[in-house]
Parts: sequence; C-alpha cells; structure tokens
Amino acid sequence: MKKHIYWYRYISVVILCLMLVVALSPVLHAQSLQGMVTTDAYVFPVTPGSAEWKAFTSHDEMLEACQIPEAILREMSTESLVETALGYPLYGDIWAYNSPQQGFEAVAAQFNGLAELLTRKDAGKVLLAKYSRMSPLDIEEKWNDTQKGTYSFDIANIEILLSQESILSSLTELELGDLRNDAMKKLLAKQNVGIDGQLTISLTSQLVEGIFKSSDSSLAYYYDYVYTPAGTPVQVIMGLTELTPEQKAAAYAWVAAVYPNATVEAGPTSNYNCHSYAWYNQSTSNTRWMNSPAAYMTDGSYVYHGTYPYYWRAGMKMFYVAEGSHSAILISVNFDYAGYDGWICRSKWGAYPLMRHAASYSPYNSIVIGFYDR
Amino acid sequence: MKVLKLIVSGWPVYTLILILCIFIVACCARQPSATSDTDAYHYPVTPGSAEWKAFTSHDQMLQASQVPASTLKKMSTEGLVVTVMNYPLYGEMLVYNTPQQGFDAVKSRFNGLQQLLRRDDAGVELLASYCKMDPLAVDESWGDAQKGKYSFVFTHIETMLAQDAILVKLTKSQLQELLAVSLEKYDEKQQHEIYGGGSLTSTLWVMGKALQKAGDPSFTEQVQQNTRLQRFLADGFFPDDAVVDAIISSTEKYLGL
Repeated sequence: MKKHIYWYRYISVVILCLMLVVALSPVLHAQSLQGMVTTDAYVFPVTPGSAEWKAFTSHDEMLEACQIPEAILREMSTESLVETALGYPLYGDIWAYNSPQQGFEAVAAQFNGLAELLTRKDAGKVLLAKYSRMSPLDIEEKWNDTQKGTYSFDIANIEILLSQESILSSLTELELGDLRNDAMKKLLAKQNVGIDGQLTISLTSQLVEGIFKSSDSSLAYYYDYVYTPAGTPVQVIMGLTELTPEQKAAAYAWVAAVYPNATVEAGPTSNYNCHSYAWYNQSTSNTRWMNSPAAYMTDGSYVYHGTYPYYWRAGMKMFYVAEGSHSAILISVNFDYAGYDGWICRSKWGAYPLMRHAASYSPYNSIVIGFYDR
Repeated sequence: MKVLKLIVSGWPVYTLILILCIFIVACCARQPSATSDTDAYHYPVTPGSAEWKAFTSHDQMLQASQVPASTLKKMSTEGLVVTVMNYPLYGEMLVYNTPQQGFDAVKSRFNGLQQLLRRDDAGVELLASYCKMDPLAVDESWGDAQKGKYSFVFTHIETMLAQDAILVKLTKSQLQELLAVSLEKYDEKQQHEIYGGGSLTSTLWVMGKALQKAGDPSFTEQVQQNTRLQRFLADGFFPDDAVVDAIISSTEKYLGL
C-alpha cells in the first residue's frame, strides 16, 4: 500500500512538471528568439505612427530624432548594429531617389548608425549570416499584400547593404562564394515567387555582379536571366573567362584556314555564343552566354516555319537540331543552290568568331535546320 | 696530279665518311616530332590547299578527312593518336557550347577517333603522349597564332583523356600517374600567359574524371552532394570556384601531397 502511495506521488510530480514546462514554453521560446534577434539593438525613442513623429514639421527633425547617441553606438555589437540599421525609421528613404545606390549613399550620409556599420570589419560576415536566413520562398500565401511587400523590401534592403564595396571587400573568397551562391538562389526564387518586381530583382543581379567584381578568382562567373518576348526567363552565364590574345589569334587563323569561304564578322570571345547572339542580342558587345534557347521556340514567342520554308525574310532565326545544336540568323537565300548551300546566315561559332557563311558551310551538322519568325 | 692521286688513294676513307653522313641524315630525319610519327595517316587534302579551298560544304570536308578503313585497321595505336591529333577538323571541338558536346560531335563524324576509342591501349598511348607534352615549352619567337594553337593542343588531348571510354582502359596506377601529370601541368599552365581559364578548365576536367574513375571515396561523396560538381564532370563546362577547390584539394589528397 505504501509502495502505491509512493508511485502516485512520483507520477503526480512528473505530470505537474510537464504542465509547468508546457505552460511556460511560449514565454521561454519568445525570450530565446528575442535574445537571438535583437540582442542590444537600439530602440528608437520616436517612431513613425507616434504622436511625436506626427508633430514633426521637417525632415531635419526626423533625422535628428533618429540619430543614435555616440556612447551607445560605440558599445553596440555588430549584430545589434545590423538590426538597428535595418530598423532605422528612415531607411525607406533609399527608395525615394533615382537609383537605390544613390538613395543608400544619401541615407548613409545622414544616419550615424549606418555610417558606423560600414566601418565595422565584421559587418559583411554578420550581414551574410542574416541574409542566408532569408528567402523569397518564405512568403506565405495567407499574408496580405503589405506583409508580402514589406518582406520583399526587407530582402532588398539587406542586398543594398551587402552590395556596398566596403562590405564586399571585407569578405574572404570563400564567403564571397557562399554569398554568390545564396544570391543566385534568391534571384531564381524571386523570379518564381512573383512578388518582386524588376526593381528588386535587379538588386539581386547587381549584388551578384558586385560579388563577381570583388572576387580575385580567374574562374568566377555567374548566372543571370534574360526573357523571351513572351516573358519566359532563360538562364544565361556572365563573366566566363575570356580566351587569351594568343588563343584568339589561333581561332582567327583556324577559321581562315579551315573555312576560307566564310567571312569573319567579329572577333572570337567567350562573352557570347550562338544561341545568345541569335535569340537574345545581336550586338557584338553582348555579354551573355546561353546554353539552351529552347524556351524561345516553345513559349509562343516565335512561329515555326519548317525546315525549308517557302516564306523567308532576313532576320529569321535558324536552329540546327543535330549534335549539340546551333543557332543562326538568316541573311539571304539563293534558290539556285541545292540544299542549304544557298541559305546565307550569320552565327557565332562557340567562343570562336562571329561568321557569315552558307548554312551548310560551318562546323555544325546542317541535316535539319528549323526556321522561326515572330 | 698529286691531288688526284691523293683522292684516289684515300677513297676508302671518303666512302666511309660519305656513308656515315648519309646514316646521320637518315637518323635525324626519323626523329619523332609531336605531329608525325610511325604509321600515322597523312591527310591527302588539308586546310590551305587549293582542293580544300574549293570545298563548298562541310560534308565535303568531312568526307575528305576520313581515314580509309583498311589503313585504319592496320595502324598502330600510337600512329592513331597522332592521326587524331592531326585531324584537320579537330578544332571543331572548340566551337560547341560545352566541351563534351564538341567531343561528341567530332566523334560522330570522324572514323579515326571512333577507331581510337575502341583500342584497348588508347588510354596508355594518350597518357604517354600527354606525359611528353610540356606547357612551358613555348618558343617566344613563335607568333601569337602559333602560341595559341600550342595551348589548344593541350585542350584537345585533355578532352580525349577526360572521356569515360578512355579512362576505363587505365589501371589504378595509371590513373594515379594521370592525376600527378595533370596536376603538374595545371601548375605549369598557370605560369604562362598563353593559357587562360579555358585551358585550366580542360586540365581540371581530366583530374575530376580520373578521380571519379579511381573511385576515391571522399571525392565520390563530394560528387554525390554537389550538383555543380556533377554537372562539370558531365560536360566539362567552366567550373566555379567551389568545384575548382574540390578537384584540386581532392587530387592533392589522393596523391598524398
């Protein structure tokens, strides 16, 4: 009997403890989250929405009210400074300028918290850690438009900060690599989620470009997207390592010797290839390499006209189907010749030169060529 | 008269000298070079000739550059390697979007390359040729085009060595030798300006594919976890920094460096 009483007491104590833990868990959880995120971040004494803020009659009064006392600023950890800067009531002023960079420079000149952050050596590391925890995919359908828009701007705001030269130069090659990969994932996610407009998408592209410029690596390159006329994103590669001058000379010599009846129209370069030239941009200053133009031919942007079209016009796109594929732009047709011998086109030969040639007079298998027009 | 007597009386010596000279000239002429060797095929029509200039289509070029089947079967593998390296249209490998696409395109049209890939000793012969090549043996008196062409010769042989059909013919110790040689060439290429990122890429491709074929467990694990590494090994298209680091560090670790 005594033994039973002992067990009842023991079980009761355990149940009570469990109830206590369950009851307190929201409080403990909130405290732990608060500790993780806010640490010693500065609490602005006057914020938009308050009666004091509404009483301000000039921008100068707002700026003054939002400065952080110097003594606090110096003591603040970089983690807190990041939270403070991103929570700055006038951070949104950035978007009121002609470009986000111009806006950032104006805000950084007026707010001592941002100026201090840019001098911290570990600012890049802290921002990178925070940025890696954010994702456009976190946006929930149940959120209202304002919530969705605010989250999109939260990511954009940190991207502007990360794009600053002083921040990027504080990161190691390894960290730059992590940031580049992370930014590229966000770029793709932004394009898929559909909340972000061209402005915030371009900020991520600019961040990736900035990272590329900061990197010492000779093999660094990055992905970007271009759009078909129907709006489908097509992945392209930028920043591929260029051929050396000697290799360019060898490429010239090779096409001249092996294809003497074709004409070199622009020099060899790794900046763009056949698909990018034919489907995206016919400028020789094109800087995008495209490995697959399939979307242009399948999303309704172009109409297929068969492999030997009766209708033709200069500028039609040509797609060589066999062996790895190739793209060209039609220049003229002389029906006196057999097969594709009389179909004259212009195409970029990989990293080799941009060539003018008969469709059957190139390194590419011309057994089947599809013709496309808008 | 005295001179004539002297010549006549000394004829055995002169004859000996003459034979010796002929022998030396003959020996020098047989010194192997990078592009001509043993029973390698001599293409009857080559770029620069009037016949070549008269071609109006790619198909005509392809047809003129096929090796007769009877010659191909009798040719030594060593000769076949030279024949493939001298193939007038081998440069077409570099005008595709990825190195693997370029290799596949050339392979599908050239019987010499198809025959080489069938030979059991193709890997050993290619490795032997690769070992003899020196990235730093660039003659400064060469013109730019010649220097660039020299850099492309490495890309060509490395692209062949990166093929599964070749690597499968190498033993573990030969794969190890290939890794050591390619790592050395990777370092040497970085010492000369004619080799850009594209040249380094083909060397990295050989290293990555050889490591994969050698079955190095830690590299295999990295490949399984890294899609960019998988993609680079599959097509040889420009690697990013993380892929470069993974291949170089794994090669050094595998070789115990």
